Amino acid sequence: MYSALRKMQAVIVIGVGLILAGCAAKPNPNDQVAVAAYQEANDPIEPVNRYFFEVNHFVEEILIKPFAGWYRIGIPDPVQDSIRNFLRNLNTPVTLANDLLQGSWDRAGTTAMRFLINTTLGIGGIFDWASDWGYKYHEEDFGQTLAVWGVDEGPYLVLPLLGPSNPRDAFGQQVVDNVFDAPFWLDIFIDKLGYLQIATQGTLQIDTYSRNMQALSELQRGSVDYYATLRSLYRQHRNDEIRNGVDTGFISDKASDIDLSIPQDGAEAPYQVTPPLTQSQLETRQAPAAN
Amino acid sequence: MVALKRRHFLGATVMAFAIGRTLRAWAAADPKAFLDGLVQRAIGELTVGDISLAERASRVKAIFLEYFDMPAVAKYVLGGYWRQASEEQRKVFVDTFIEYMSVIYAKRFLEYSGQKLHVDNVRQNGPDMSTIYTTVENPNSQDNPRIDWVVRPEGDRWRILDVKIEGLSLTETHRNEFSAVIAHSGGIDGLIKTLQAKIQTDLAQKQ
Repeated sequence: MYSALRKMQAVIVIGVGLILAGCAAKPNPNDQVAVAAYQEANDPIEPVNRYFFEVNHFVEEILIKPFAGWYRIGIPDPVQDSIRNFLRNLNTPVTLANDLLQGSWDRAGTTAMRFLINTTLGIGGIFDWASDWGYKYHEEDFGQTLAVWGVDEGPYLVLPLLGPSNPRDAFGQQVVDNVFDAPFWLDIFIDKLGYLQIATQGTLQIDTYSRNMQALSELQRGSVDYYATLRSLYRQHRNDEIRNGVDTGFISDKASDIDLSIPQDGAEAPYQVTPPLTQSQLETRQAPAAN
Repeated sequence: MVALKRRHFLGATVMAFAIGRTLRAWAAADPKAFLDGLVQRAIGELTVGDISLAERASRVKAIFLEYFDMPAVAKYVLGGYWRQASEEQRKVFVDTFIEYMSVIYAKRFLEYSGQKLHVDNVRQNGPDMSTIYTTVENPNSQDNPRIDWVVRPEGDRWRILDVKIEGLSLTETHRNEFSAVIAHSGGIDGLIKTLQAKIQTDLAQKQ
């Protein structure tokens, strides 16, 4: 009993020590710019994150890259597109549920229409006819839903094997989204299955990676700090997804929905030059009256 | 008579100059013409395969200097550290940054397969800033990435301040990256040294 307690104590001491050692060096509190940069990076356990980043990168190089390279070269492009279409269609419940949870009725409608069209005419989702008819693909997850509900992302995290994340996205994507995920439930309820979710998610990962392999390696070659570059890109990408691709830098969502509408028949959109914002509008970030 | 002629001549010159300026201003103000000019120039000069990396980098630099406001981009990318930098550091940083950008982007854009830019919308964000929203029309694929160009007018033309591909900002990414280098590698001088070393190793590599 006594020795078990001592062991637990030792484990706790070592654990706390590791976490402390893993904390990023705090900047000089008198250097305001450095303090602001530290806060913007929002990465208090940076050394731990950098460690897992290296581990993930190693796994990527030796395991995923050869697979993805083979997938890229060995499988014809249309088949790759069909694999992606099928997996995206399978993921519809996750996107639809989160569309609804965010109150995006139009986008929920698009997701539902895509599912109807592609599951039937697209033969179980392997052809994406819906895109040609104007129902473009988009993705939603519970991390985005939490963001829409006003939950802060929290500090940056690099998850082992899963890569860049944060507490909000990790909880949303890795925990809550399972509730809506068909392969997750099939794994539970069908005896012979057990790895369907891992297989589908893994294939999607390899597909995504193979499509971005060249861009990523160029990015890495051009970077002076690849870790910081990907940290920045992850956040920007998530913010873009949360805003559904709408640039809210200067005006509100409502006005940009109107301004960014592009004719569906592909006709040349007229350049709609909106009037310059007044100083007070710029300060309050109010939208100009839609015309 | 001579005086009259001279006045005519002067008047005509002023008129021609004014019309020329207006026409050029009009041409530059058309976002499609502006971006098409940039794309055509990049395709024409950068998709040829048989030039050295140094030559390619110098062509990229010329395009950057003509179409982008590189000193403003450099200033933004340094963020709050710009205020801390000395006059000398600022000057060296701007030059080094332009070289760095030219070298790393010289390695990209090697492939071109018929993509076209479609201007969807232009929005004026303030008295001297606009965003040109475009999508890439890709003949071989269903993927049509969005590219937003943040520009400011300068005389009769435009200068690019930022490029956002699918919401990923060029300047934001470099700013975050450089902040990390400054924090970990010895301040602004450390960053400049890191960039200079990167330029050297990249140029030394065979393409």
